Amino acid sequence: MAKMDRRDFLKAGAAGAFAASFPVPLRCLGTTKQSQDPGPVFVAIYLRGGMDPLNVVVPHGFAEYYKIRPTIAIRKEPGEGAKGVIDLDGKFGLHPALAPLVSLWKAKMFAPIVNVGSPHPTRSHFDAQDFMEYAAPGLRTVHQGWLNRYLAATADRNGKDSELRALATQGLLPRSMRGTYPVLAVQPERRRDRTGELLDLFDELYGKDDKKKVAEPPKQMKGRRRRKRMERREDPVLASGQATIRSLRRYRQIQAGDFGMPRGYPRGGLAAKLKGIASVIKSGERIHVAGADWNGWDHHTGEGAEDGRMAKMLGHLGAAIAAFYQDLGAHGKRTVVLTMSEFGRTCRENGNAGTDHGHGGLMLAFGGKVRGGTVHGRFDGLENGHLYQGRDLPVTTDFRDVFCEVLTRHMGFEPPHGFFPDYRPRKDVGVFA
Amino acid sequence: MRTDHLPALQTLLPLALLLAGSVCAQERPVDDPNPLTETQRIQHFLSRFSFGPTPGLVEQVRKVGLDKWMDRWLEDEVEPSKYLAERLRDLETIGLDSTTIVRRFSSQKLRNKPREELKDAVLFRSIYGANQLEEVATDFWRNHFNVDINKGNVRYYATEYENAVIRKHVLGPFGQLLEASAKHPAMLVYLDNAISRRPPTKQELREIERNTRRKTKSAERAQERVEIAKQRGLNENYARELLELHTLGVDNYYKQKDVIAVAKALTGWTVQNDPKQKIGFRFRADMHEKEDQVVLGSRIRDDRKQPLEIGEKILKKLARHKGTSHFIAWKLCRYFVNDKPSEAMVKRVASAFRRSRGKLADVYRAIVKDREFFAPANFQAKYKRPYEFVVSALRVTGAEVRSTRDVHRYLALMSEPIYECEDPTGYYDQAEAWNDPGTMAVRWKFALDLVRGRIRGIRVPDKFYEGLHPKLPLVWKDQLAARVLPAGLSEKTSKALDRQIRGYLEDRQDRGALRDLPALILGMLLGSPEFQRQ
Repeated sequence: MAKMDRRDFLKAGAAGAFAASFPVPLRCLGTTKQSQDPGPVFVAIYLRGGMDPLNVVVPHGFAEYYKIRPTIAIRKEPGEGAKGVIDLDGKFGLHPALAPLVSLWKAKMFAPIVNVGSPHPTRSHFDAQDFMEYAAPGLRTVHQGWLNRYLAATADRNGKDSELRALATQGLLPRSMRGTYPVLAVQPERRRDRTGELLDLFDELYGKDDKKKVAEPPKQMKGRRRRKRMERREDPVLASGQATIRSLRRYRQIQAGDFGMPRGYPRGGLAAKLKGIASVIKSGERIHVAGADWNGWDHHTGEGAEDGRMAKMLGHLGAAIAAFYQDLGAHGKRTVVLTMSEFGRTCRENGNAGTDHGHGGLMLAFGGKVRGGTVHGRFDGLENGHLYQGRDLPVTTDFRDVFCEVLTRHMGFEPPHGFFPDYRPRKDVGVFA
Repeated sequence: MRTDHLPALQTLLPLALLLAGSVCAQERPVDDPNPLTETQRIQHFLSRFSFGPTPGLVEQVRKVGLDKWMDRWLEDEVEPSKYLAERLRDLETIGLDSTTIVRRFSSQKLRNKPREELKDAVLFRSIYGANQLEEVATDFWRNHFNVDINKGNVRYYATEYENAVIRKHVLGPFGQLLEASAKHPAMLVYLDNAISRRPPTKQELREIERNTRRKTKSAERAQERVEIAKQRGLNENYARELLELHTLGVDNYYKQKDVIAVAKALTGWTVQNDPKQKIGFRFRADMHEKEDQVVLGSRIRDDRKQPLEIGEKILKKLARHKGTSHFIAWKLCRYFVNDKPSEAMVKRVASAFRRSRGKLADVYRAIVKDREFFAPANFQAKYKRPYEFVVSALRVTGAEVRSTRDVHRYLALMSEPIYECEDPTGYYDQAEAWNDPGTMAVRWKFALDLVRGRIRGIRVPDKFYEGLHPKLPLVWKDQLAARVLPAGLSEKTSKALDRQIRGYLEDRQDRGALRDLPALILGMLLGSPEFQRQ
């Protein structure tokens, strides 16, 4: 099936006059090894602001839910033709705006993880985000994103990694991807511009061969010391410029070749970002990690219920992810999407029809490797005794358990001791097969 | 620029290269262990306390003397720029208060105007403001006390916030700046303090029940309303950021219980938002939690007659706190000196902060006077944020800005649109936040679009190119570099540019093409690694 896609892609690439107008020869299209499986892909979606778990995967089977959320609860039968909770397993259900995800649920490619979060009690957005993206709760000494650590640890020793092995389709990288391993940040849907000329002009200024000539440490130095020296020697501005040139060239080739014009995506936002990522995955390029952020889940006021501000955002979220898997086709089997947020929110609604910063949160996992069609994680109820500090969802699954399982089960990487600082891989969450 | 007579270019090439080399050799490498020269000191000062030099500014400072020049800026004894006044004159809303703006500009048709004009005003002042120290300080504090123009009514309040809160206080005592921000509608709305209140009493709940039942004749609806009212209460958002971002720094000295105590003390601090009266700060006693609070270990009394005082006392306490002086000093050093300021310097600046009771002009002076400020390692050591890159490029070329639309579009593409930072942290000012691979392409595009006149309403004046050698195109790059780059060209950039220029000359033998060459060189200089630093 993957081969089929490749052939279509090649045909399109060769036929297009578009390709001929390109400054860089399209040689890479021929040299990518067709026989090789391009391997697993992991897409991290960060929903910033602290998404409210209880109005996304709704515990409609728990009567307490409706008591503590008099105005913003998602009702089972809101009446007047409005849509209510979509039941999943009798206890939990989806927000009606997430209807596009039902087919993934039925195909067992979608599973929520409830009460997942950080062992650290902070309710600061910025700390909580850092802690999760560095996968180092409470440690302010770690400044390399956990995905960047993965990328660095599994980098090709001969430097033959694809320039697009890691990609974020936005202006700036999420912190989880930031660090010593170069990751491309590119704005989605900027196809008809003059970037090609720019890359040629600045190529030399930022020194295409600079790495070899300047940053080469003495041969006798080996291993980590040598690598460290390499990092130190490399000027971050030059390095960033060089990486920009290499990876944008490749990205633009792929975008130019993506003639499928994928349909079904909602406009803009997360959907545009996912569309860019999908085009790279479909091309057969060896992309391993991708990231996309979505800011604005901090609903202190006017959160809404079946309709309203958050419902609108969920509508886009559901439609974007559903379209992404539609677009990926068979590649969906090797692609895992995981949504995350820095913390959950207070279980009771506040006086402004919103919720405040909480503790335990929610993740949504998608893809062929996911044991879908089940709600994962332990959820005991919403009575005071079950809540963290009497107000928030407790954390019954450490987010690192999930990250660790993504790496071991999906990416085939056994994190060495210390990869997740102060953490020992614990129990099986069982989200990934 | 005149390029009418260009005899046998090829024969002149070797000579030109020789000349180019000699100009290059005069430049000092950045990490020279020797102290900075006088020119470099001026350049260094201007690269941190201004948005970069304009043509001729370094000379002007040299004539006056650096210390004297700094004093003029710190005491704001500066002739305002006439050009700036002219650019601001067209902006109808920029001098108005929130009341007038809401009254006159809240219709569907006009509601975007205050927001757009504010963005323009910020940009124009950054580019053309005569007292650049004030402009840069305003940039720092605007980010420190960030509000997002896209949240609720902030769009109408931000103009006054920029003028009467941030700009007005950037040279004065920190305590006044803090209090002004705490009481301004823009901040009260942005961080939700305007809706934070004490929980309702039993009696109030009974009243709600009675009233609703009377109105709706439904016991069920009445009960529903009571449940809603019960949830109404404290919002910790502002209190938390006040401690974490505005004063003490994250987890310094305070705990969750302090956040709650501060939030309670500040209940009732809300907004008078009815445009029939004056829009502004309003204290509502009925929302206020009437109880003493323990903040940072000391009990602060809630005076029943003066219920506003408990909040003011807490703000004063925070402004004077040692933790605040250290946090602010560290952040200022990170902004003005380098991304990882030394603890020793931070301590010295923090003590200057305390000695002067937070008078910010004195703190900036302490930074410049500090023995570490002019250390050669700090010269050109900060990576420009997108905003700094754009403004410094417009300044250094003496660009005339008639329309700002494309500049705002570029800033959005680079993820730093003015007054649109959603996070209360404001935009980060360290390199690591901005130098992701891929981001550089947008800077290059801006640089080339600028010099080629492809940014609508903006052009680099012909004057900028005056005095280029009439016959030797290869010298142009050094002449232009001297006007644009404080540290001059690195050998690497110089060589790369030489090759580009030679390639260009070989490709295009006709004279017309040469007319575009200086612009192309300038564009590449603005996109070079050197110009990304300050």
